[in-house]
Amino acid sequence: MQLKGKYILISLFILLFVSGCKKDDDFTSSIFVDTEELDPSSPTYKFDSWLNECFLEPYNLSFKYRMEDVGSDLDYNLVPVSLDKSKQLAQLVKYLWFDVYSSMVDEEFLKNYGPRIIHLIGSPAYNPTSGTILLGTAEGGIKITLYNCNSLDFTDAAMMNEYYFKTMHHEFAHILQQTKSTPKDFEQISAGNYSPMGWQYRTDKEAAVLGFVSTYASSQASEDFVETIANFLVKSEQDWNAVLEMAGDDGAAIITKKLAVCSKWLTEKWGIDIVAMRNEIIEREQNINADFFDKEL
Amino acid sequence: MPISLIRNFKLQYMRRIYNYTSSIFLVLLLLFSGCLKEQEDLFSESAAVRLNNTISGIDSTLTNSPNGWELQYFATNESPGYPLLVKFNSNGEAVVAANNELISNQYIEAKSLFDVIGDDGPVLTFNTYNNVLHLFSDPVSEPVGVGLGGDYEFIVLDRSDSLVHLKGKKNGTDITLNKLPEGLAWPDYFVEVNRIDNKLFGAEMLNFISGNDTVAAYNGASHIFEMQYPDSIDETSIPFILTSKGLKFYSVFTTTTNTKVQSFYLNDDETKLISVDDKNTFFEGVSVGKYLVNSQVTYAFDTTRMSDNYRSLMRILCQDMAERYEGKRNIDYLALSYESSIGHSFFFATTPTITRANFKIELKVDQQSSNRVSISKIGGVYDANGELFLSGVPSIGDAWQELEGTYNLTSTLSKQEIRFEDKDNASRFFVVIRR
Repeated sequence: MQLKGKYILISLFILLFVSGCKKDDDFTSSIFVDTEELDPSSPTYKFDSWLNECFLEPYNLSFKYRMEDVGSDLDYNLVPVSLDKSKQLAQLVKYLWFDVYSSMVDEEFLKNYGPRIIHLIGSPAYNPTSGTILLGTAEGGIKITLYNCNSLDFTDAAMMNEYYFKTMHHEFAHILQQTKSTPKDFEQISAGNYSPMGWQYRTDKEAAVLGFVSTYASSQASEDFVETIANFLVKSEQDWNAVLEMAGDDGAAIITKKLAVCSKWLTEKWGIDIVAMRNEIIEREQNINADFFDKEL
Repeated sequence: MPISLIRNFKLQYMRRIYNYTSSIFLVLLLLFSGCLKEQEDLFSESAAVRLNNTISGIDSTLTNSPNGWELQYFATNESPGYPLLVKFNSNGEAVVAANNELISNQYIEAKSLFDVIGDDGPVLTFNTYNNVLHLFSDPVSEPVGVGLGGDYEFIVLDRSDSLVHLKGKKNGTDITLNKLPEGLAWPDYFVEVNRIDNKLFGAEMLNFISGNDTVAAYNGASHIFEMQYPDSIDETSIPFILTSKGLKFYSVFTTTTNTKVQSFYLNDDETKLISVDDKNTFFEGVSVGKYLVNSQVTYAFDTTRMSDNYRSLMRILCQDMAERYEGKRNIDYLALSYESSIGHSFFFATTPTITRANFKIELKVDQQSSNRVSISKIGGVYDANGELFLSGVPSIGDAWQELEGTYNLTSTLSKQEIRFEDKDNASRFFVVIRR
């Protein structure tokens, strides 16, 4: 009797404690899959389906082309990207970035380390005080924001590289950089020449002579590291050599040394051959023309 | 049973009772610990459900207007207003149309996407770039980084089937959507707005009259009135929007007679803009006679709108010029003009050889009416070209002479057009248009 009473009480306690705890839903493979069903009557149905097929399902990546004010930096005056430019940029991102990594490294690489959100913004983000514009941002390895997307001109490879693809590789290199430690000796190569507040006042040549591949690279070591990678990836051998030539002997030696450190880090930590990847990107860029884009999207 | 055993039994029994009692008390405590006195619900549904219902309702309101909406858009509370026409389709697509100087004064329709989202309350957002709407917020425009400073996300403040009040999410600008009537062709809407604009605004000021007070309203063509009060150097800027129905200030304005006004309609003969709130508050043009006498503007004769006496003489003048100069100095246009050396003049310009000639006239405002002027030919006074042409083409003198007379003048508010009608003979008339 005593035992029965105890069991009843214990059962009652357990019942009370557990009654509020429903069985948790099974986790799904994507954090975005429970988003709204696509509406076949929507003018963007084909495009949205394509984005799901090419980014959401394989990479768990939400490709946001509809402006989300709350998801953008409210300090800037920004406008959305046009639907036409979104479609072009989405196809270029897949072809010149995701497909490159998946063919050069492996399919799992971007699934593990790729961003979870790409957010397109139509206008540049202007810094009125410094007179600079923001081309892209990477937030915590999760989200990459690309600005100035309404200016996309697929016939201008130099412009595309400068504004979008260099930015993508730059921001993605930040994600890799934030995931695995970078060599400390890199920071020592140009220590003393970084100018976090005054880099924008340097010319390309002044930066190159000091051993930087771009003016922004001269802002701080972490930016220098990813700028070296991004610039090398999107510049043809001829363009890269032009930077070295502009840098002079001393500057070129510094840049080459930095590239060697980056290259070694990419190979050892990530299994990426930066030279082979650069060749692949440049070869693919030759295929970008009006016929490249799927007009049915 | 020994006492010690009885005591022990009681003790055990009491302890058990205590254990059960305390356990039951604990169970009851757990059962009711979360149950404070229930507050009566103010709403029958949760906040999230209510927001979703509101969003759905707004979406229905917007998409249920078959011919769309007139969006009365102000980028900021210091900017001129622009009418835009918007059609919200149920598939999430929005069509925005305009005809203004930002798009080279051409009628343009642009498509993009829109959505009603639960953000800062229900928010209407145009979330892909629209070539008409986003011109007001694109930071690429001057001043770079800011542009015109407008919004493309709007908090929906309230709505009915025919009117929606919005507030710019970033800049807080008040904006309204008015339902468009079915059957109205969108391009025609802008044709009418432009017609009214031309009718109302030129370089000339308007008088803003409220009761017995008159304030000078300058700069109407910019759609920002600069109000100049008598005996004051201060000016008050009033941004406004011009629609097919009239004019609306950005916000309610209190006049010097303490009357609150905002919207104005054009009266039937299109000579006044009258407040819908107070018929004694209105805009009207300054006296056309005084204006004309004091102006230095060139007004070309509209040869399709003049009586035969003027038309026939001017036609002869044109023929004689063509013959005399063998097609090298044909009349381009004839006008009433002003030339600094001789003052007001009968004027013509020639083409393809470009020449100008002036023949002096005198304009005087009639003593009895400021909308009546007399024109007198001042013979023998002309510029050098005038002298040359007159010697070769005597019919110039006939046309010049024919202008003499006393005329009643009528004009639009903008003084874009002026009709001259002989005060004693209504069949003698001509119309001039500002160049």
